Amino acid sequence: MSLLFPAYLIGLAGLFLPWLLHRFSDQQPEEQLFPSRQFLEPTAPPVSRKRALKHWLLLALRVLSILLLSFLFAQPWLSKTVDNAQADVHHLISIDQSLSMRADGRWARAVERADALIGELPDSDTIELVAFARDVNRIADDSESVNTLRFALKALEPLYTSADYGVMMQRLNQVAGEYSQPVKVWLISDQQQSSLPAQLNALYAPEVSLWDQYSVVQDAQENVHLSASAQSDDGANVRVSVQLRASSAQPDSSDSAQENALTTHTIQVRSDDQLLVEETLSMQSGDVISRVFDDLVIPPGENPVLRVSLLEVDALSEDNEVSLTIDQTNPTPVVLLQSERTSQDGAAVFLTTALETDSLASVQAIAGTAERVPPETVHILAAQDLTLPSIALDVLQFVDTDANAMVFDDSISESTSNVDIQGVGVGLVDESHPLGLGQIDWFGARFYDVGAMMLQEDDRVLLETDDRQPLLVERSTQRGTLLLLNDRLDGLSSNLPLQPAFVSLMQAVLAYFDASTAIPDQLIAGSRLSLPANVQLFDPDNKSLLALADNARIGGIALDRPGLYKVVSARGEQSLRVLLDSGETDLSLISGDAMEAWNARYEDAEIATSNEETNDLPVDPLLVMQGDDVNRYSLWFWLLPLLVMAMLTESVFANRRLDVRRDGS
Amino acid sequence: MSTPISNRLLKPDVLARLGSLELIARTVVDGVTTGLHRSPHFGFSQEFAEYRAYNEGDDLRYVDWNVYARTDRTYIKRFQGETNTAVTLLLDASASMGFGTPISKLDQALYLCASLAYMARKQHDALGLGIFDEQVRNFLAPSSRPDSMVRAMALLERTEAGSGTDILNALESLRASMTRRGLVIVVSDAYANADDLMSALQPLAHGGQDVAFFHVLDKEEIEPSLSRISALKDLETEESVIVDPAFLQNGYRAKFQAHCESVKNACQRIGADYSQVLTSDPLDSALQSYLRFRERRGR
Repeated sequence: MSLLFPAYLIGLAGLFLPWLLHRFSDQQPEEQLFPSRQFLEPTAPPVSRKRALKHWLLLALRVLSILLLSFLFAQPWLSKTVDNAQADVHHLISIDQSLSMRADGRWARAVERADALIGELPDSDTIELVAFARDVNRIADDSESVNTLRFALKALEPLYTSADYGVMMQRLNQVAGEYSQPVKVWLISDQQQSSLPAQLNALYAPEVSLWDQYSVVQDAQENVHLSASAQSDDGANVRVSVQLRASSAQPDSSDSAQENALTTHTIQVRSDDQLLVEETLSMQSGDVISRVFDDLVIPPGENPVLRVSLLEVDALSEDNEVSLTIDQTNPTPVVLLQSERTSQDGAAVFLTTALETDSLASVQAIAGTAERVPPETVHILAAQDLTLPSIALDVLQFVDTDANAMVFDDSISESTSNVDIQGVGVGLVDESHPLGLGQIDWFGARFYDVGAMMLQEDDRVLLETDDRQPLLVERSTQRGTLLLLNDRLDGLSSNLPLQPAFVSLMQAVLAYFDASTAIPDQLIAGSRLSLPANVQLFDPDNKSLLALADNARIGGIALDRPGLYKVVSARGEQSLRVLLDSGETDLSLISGDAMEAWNARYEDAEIATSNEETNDLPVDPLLVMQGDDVNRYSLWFWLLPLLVMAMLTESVFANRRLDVRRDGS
Repeated sequence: MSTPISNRLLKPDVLARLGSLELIARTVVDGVTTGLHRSPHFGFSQEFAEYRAYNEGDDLRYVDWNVYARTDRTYIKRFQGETNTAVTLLLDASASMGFGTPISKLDQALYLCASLAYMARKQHDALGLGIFDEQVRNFLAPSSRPDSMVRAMALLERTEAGSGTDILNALESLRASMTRRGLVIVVSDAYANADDLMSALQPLAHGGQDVAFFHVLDKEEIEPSLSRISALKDLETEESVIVDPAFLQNGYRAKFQAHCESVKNACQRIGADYSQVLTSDPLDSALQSYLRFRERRGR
């Protein structure tokens, strides 16, 4: 057993107090009144009696309380037994595998350093190779032979994703927790500023006993990150927006004067071999420059790809060229299913007018059922009798293909005598729904004849009238989105189609439908893409990424490599750009203060360890104080209840045992 | 089935809550006498005692005219209550009387005196009261006036434990005032030498007084329960004596017991009646002892 704060044992001097109390407490006899001393004989208390200890049990309890209190402050602990006595230290060689390690010479130095470490470390120790970028991967260990590590090291190469030192340290902390012996982490990285977590606390790994950092950045390096997008409003001309972000890595040994040096960079926009535009800019580290190239003529061909590149070579060549597809602002196609009922004519006019406002959608009216909807269509509007218990099967089947449908009422009003001339307004609005219904002004909307809609158990009422009749309901489906609008939209049963709120509602519905089914057009490398069922994904080399089994199920896939991907589904083909993280291409290094703060904790732990002349394990003192260290069992968990029990027993015993005269005589 | 008298009487600590001495006295005396009315041996005022032939000078109010109508002779009807005895209560109010639990010896003595005074007035006795410690603090000469009990009660109400005891000096001072023969009832804890006490009481007895001595004691002074060495402070002299509990357990108890015996013997030698009254006990035995004493003396 060892003590964390042995100085507190000075409290044991307090043991004299109960001893003195019990030994000399009877020297001054208690004075009591008595009627007369006539028959009393003065007694000289015998010396032996004076010095005798009294109330042994009480004394023992008091001594025990002081002992426990002193030891509680001194924080005793026991070392855990080391299971693997043969291995002194477990070494975790952690290599940064992020995109920035692709910069000139970094990866080679990292591999060289790791290889050297594998050779240098003692045979009695165990070694494990770990690589990290977005996540931490345990690559290999030396359980078979050191050569296994070397082969695994050679097979490694840097990724395109970013790194987060916080995530890395917490994962290493978990790995270190699996070992009973001390764990030393050898971190080999470029010590990139952008990889630091927002909270530096995430860098603390209490399970890690020893710590060493090696920076692969030895020379000053500069990089310019290129990002671009292309958009066409008319299908003939394209507007290309380019942004350049310059950064530099300046290790302490390098010349800091280079940091502010101006460098020239030439931007080229090409389509195949044809140069569309070129411009040369001057930048220095830290600059962010944006350029917009307007009215470039779209090259001929279907879905042409533009290539934007920087001509000058910098430290990281991977972010010097991007491929672009041209985003065209086309209205979203929506199909309106029409039946034979003539009463829907009014509804069709109101819906078409509302949806085609601002060219957001193009409404195509089709007679018949949902089975006749064109295959690329994902949004339909359908009229159904909502007073019936269920929706028509063809609409449900359509929605089940990850599509969206809004069904409005086309029931026949039973009696015109029941029509309320005043009507009712909109009452409850579900403002938490992504439709954003709370932002729509429902003030003028009045409902005169709301149909008795049949609700199901899982229906979510988004909008209802003042008299609590449902107006807009979202019905849960396995896939896709189904909205039910309980209004005939004929302008007679309500004035909703005539209100500005109706246009806002339809646009909100369209945006909600788009968001539920759209595949994003760009992602950051390493992000996970959620895919609907029955789609195929092709990488920039046009190779299929999903096997047949993957194809059939809903899921996602992490896209680590940058470039232009292609998503092909029954509804057509869509481009997906996977971009490099602009933060990761920023080569700025961690500031000295932050590095100091990161390393200081482990240095303190090592100093504390070296000061202790024991073979106990080095630990984080703060964690020891919290009684939460893996290498030590803190004993305060046991001492505290014992102290409480001893003090309680002492109180009870003292109150009963002591001869207290309470009658005042 | 009759209830034992002791059960009908309230304990001293309960009596203490009654507040008024007169009320306490009524409660105690009524409690004792309720069970005694049927007894032919005890009588109180207005209770028939005997017939006596009328002599000149007798009060005509006591002639039994019914007997005269039947027998044509005049008889005087005598009652027990017409003993016309002077009862003088002498109360020791020294500092040592302030000791005791649940009530002090002085409180118990006050209740006893009040009860005796009430009882005396019920028998139309002349009532007197003397209160003393080192000297006589108050003295009411025996009087048959109706307000004698009220005055005695008022005096008793004001009585508090004083300083030391000098029972010899006090009784000597009182002896000159007590010319009328009757009953002298001394209530004290008797912290005095037994021989001195006897020499103090002897002149009273020889002067024709019937003396009753009520020795008021507390259980704690008879059998102290101290378990550790303590400094015991004399209430009268305020001197402290360090005493070993072993002595209190043995030596002291024997000495105190011997003292009580010597006081009792001293009383018996002069023909005085001796009764011990504990602060923790009801007053019934003390009052019964008083009644027996009066019966014996035929007063």
